[in-house]
Amino acid sequence: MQSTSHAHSQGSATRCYIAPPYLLAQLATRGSAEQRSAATRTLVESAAIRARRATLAHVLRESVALPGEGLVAGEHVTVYDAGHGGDANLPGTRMRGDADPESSDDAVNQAFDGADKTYQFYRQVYGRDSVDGQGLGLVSSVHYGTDFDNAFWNGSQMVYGDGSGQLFQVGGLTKDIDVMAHELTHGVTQYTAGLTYHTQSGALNESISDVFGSLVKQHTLGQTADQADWLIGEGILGPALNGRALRSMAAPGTAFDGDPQPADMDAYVNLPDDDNPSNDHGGVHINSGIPNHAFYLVATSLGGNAWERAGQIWYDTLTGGNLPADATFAVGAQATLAAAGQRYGAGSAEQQAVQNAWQQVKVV
Amino acid sequence: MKISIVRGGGLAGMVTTTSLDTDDLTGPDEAALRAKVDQAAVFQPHQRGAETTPPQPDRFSYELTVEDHDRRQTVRARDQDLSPELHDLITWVHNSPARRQVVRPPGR
Repeated sequence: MQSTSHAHSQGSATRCYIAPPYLLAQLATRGSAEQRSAATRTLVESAAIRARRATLAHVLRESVALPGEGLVAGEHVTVYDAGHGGDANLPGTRMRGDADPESSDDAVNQAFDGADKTYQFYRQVYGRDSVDGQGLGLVSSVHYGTDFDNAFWNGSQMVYGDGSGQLFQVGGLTKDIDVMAHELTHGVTQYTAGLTYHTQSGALNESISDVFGSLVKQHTLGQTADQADWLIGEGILGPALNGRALRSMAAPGTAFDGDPQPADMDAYVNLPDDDNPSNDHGGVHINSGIPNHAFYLVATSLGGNAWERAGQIWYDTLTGGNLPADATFAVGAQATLAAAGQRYGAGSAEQQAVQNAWQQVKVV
Repeated sequence: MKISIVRGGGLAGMVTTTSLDTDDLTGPDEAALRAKVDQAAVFQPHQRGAETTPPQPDRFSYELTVEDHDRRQTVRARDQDLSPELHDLITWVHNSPARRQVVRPPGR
């Protein structure tokens, strides 16, 4: 399950070791002769493994199998089969890594391609090495739960259900690149602005995932802002929802019958931020329509490939260190304006497009 | 016995309410459900241990209500905080052919 020498931080949480380093250090200096010898050996070997892994990952990018581990050193995408188990069974059985051929399991291949394409997008377009910016291996587990109508990032990895055929088509959750990139982008946000998942900062968090989810799709398909459909989760809904997609950035509120998304602040939905599941932490999936639409307006106003300027401004905002975790829409808007001014100049066409967009959705 | 499970959040952000009445179940299924309600300690809140971790993006959260004769109990929990027994009960209800299910946007 967990290697003693495998650790990474996830925002503010840290992995647990089997024998924590401080304990090994104590034994190495203050234990009996036998304890000192064993602890020292373990510390040295663990450090050697980490150093070797880091060296291979960053310099050679080659695969060297380390005994007893599913994650191959330097691997950037690995997909597991959760075997219809739950959290305690994650990640599951290793099915496919970088050097492996296609699986006979479609969900495995789709999750692999989704993570790979998202990784390549962030790397090629923004120079970002994985969700943490430091080459974090992207782990995905498919077949989580039974007929599970959801996909999520759990702080460390991607998790995909199969869909029940009601909310989502069976097999639907690994079918859309924008859905997979949406989930992975929650990881990027976790490692950068850390937007807290409730009310407006939560809606911004959701919007960031829709924005970059859509951009990965557009980049994969080679579409300009005018050619894109600006839909999230297109073509994967089950009969419980009557419609084409989960969300529309171009026309919030039109993706399916009863789509509750507002397109501007006049229609902002004020839901309590409590633990009632009916309230969606203050409507984070609803009010994300407003910043989604602002991004769509910037992208279509500027034209061309949306990831190049609109996406760059949003990426700069997310990662620049000036977007607080509790940002409201208004604070977020100011941050995008500042980022646009910094990248393209004060009074530039790009900054003006950002100003116009936030005005149109009535945030500023 | 009546069970109602309100599930919110998730990638879609919609609210799914699933309800089940033991009147609609066979004898063995009713017994299985009652056993799961007991194992999940729905009516024994002090046994349930109530850790609540911060929200994870796009994860479900639940409100489960059980009515049985003159007893009624409501439990709220995030997906990642569910005990294995509560998780098992919720999965069983969601997969029961006798369940009724309604999907609506948040807030109503």
